[in-house]
Amino acid sequence: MNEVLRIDSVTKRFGGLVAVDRFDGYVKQGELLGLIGPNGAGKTTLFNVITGMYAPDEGRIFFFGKDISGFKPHEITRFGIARTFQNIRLFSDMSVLENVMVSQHLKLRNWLWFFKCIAKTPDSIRMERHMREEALKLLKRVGLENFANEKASSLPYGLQRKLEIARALSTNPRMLLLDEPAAGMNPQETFELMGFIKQIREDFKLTIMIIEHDMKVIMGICERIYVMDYGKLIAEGNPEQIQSNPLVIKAYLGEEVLL
Amino acid sequence: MEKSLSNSLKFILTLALIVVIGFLLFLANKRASEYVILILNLMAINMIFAVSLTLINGITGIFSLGHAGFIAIGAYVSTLLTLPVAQKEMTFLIKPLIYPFNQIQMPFLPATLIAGLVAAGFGYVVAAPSLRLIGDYLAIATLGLGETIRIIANNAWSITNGALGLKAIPPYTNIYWSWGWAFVTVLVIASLVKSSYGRALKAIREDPIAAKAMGINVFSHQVVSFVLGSFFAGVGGALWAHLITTIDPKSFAFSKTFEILIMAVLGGLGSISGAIIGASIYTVGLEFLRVLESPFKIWFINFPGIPGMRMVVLSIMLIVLMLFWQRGIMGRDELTWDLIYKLFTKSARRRGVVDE
Ligand SMILES: Nc1ncnc2c1ncn2[C@@H]1O[C@H](COP(=O)(O)OP(=O)(O)OP(=O)(O)O)[C@@H](O)[C@H]1O
Ligand SMILES: [Mg+2]
Repeated sequence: MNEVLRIDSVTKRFGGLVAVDRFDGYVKQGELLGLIGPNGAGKTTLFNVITGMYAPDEGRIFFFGKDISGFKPHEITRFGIARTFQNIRLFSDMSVLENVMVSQHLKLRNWLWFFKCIAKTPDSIRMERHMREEALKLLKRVGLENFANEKASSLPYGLQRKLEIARALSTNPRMLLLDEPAAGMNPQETFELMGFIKQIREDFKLTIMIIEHDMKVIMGICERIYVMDYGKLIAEGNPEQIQSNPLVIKAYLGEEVLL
Repeated sequence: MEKSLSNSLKFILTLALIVVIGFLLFLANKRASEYVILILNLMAINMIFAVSLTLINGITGIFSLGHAGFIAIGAYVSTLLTLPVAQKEMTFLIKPLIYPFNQIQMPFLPATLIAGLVAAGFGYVVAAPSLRLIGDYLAIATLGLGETIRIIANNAWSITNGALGLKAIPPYTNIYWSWGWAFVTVLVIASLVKSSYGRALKAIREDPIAAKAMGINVFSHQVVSFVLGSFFAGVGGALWAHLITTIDPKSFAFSKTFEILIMAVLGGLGSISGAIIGASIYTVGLEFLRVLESPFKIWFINFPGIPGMRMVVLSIMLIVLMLFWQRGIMGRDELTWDLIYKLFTKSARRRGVVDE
């Protein structure tokens, strides 16, 4: 089994609250893994721990066998894990193209580039052109090329979510974490998004982990699903297994989510 | 139809603009009165201050209130390096100046560079720990720093000559130094902003968390921006000291930082060209308002001249301006040839000159 990510008994506390409670899990190469659970279950917190936004209080995280717990967010992105945010976090005052170009910045690996960029040396100009071309290619890929020079905040909601994905892809990741990518989308947009996620997995040879409240999305595209409740992993399985798991139904009871 | 100018045309236009400005300055230097030359020098120095502050506050989004502190460092360091040894002995009466300053005298250029480097070093020493520890509260740390530097200057008699300050500083600053450095400052900072680093800094301003997630080392970028801004503040301080030729701790009170903030905000915080425009308007505006400080008469009412009146009037004007025009003159946009071209063709079309 080719394992991309291993989460080894990870715990994250906020004061007395245990947001993630000894979570164990793994993600296989090329897999599309769903992460579901009621509000406040700790799903986003788990993403934040994986991406280094929070250090885990206990446990470790391995990415391609390397222990990445304790590394900074930008380092983890450079290792190859990119993400989107539940509450859209675009660089709103910058253009759509610039948003995607920002993620190309990690190609400038040492501070020599800083002086080259000020002096506008030929290789810095080449690099700038390369970044622009890569970003444009990605915009074309997600169908945003006509908006390249618009302000990111001027895009409609559904396109902003797409831009977030394009921006994450621009870091050239091996693994992509999507936090509620369908939130705020209409059924038509959601349907397109499902095809889109599957397609980018093929095109970019990605491993994808996705948090989503829309069960159509999760059941429609995920091969395997983890269910969290109160920070704990309470169930694991393929869509059919999850839909018939009594623990899951109990966790969701009282929530208006149809499994 | 896409409206834009070719790169080579823009380059030629920019070059032409620089030549024209250079020629006008050359003429002014030869013909203009000493007063006008003083204002022109101040204008260039204010540009250096405003542009370097814009890099820190406007582009990177670090709310720093310590600019006057770095200006002070630049002013004192450069002065201690250029002041003739005999002059130092005459000045430092209460406590003698410490080694090695009491034996050094060097030309203006190296003194200015060292002043900038020392200010940059202080910038690093302040920014690194406070950005790491307190992040958003940097404003308070930098405010504290500015005041601390001033208080140290007031009490470190053997370095700064305390409250008495330094006098008879060689008046090295002329049009060429001040405008030359302003040119270098704008060139370096604009070139940086118009690169991948500029995008990274703006991304940090817009959303530091998302910037981190896109692989940007937010901390080191903030520190570098702060250090570069401090360097030019130090250079500006050196130029300023050698223009006004006397400095004392009061010259670097918080009001100095506030003045620069006004220039940057007036021009549009986050725009380099805005900072240049803001600094120019502020410098010239302040001179025009000087009439308020000598007695004058409107109709039958006599107004006595009140010193400081122009600052009051200016502040009120700026408050009104900010209320109705919050983003300043340029907002976060840059004044580019494309923009001028667009504005020009738009107004031309309105007048029916250009038909399409
Ligand atoms: N920075 C924080 N400080 C304190 N508590 C936090 C913080 N972040 C999350 N929490 C708490 O941790 C718990 C888990 O939150 P989390 O955002 O991970 O839930 P979630 O599963 O993503 O929920 P949702 O489906 O609503 O997005 C919640 O009770 C939340 O209030
Ligand atoms: Mg969440």
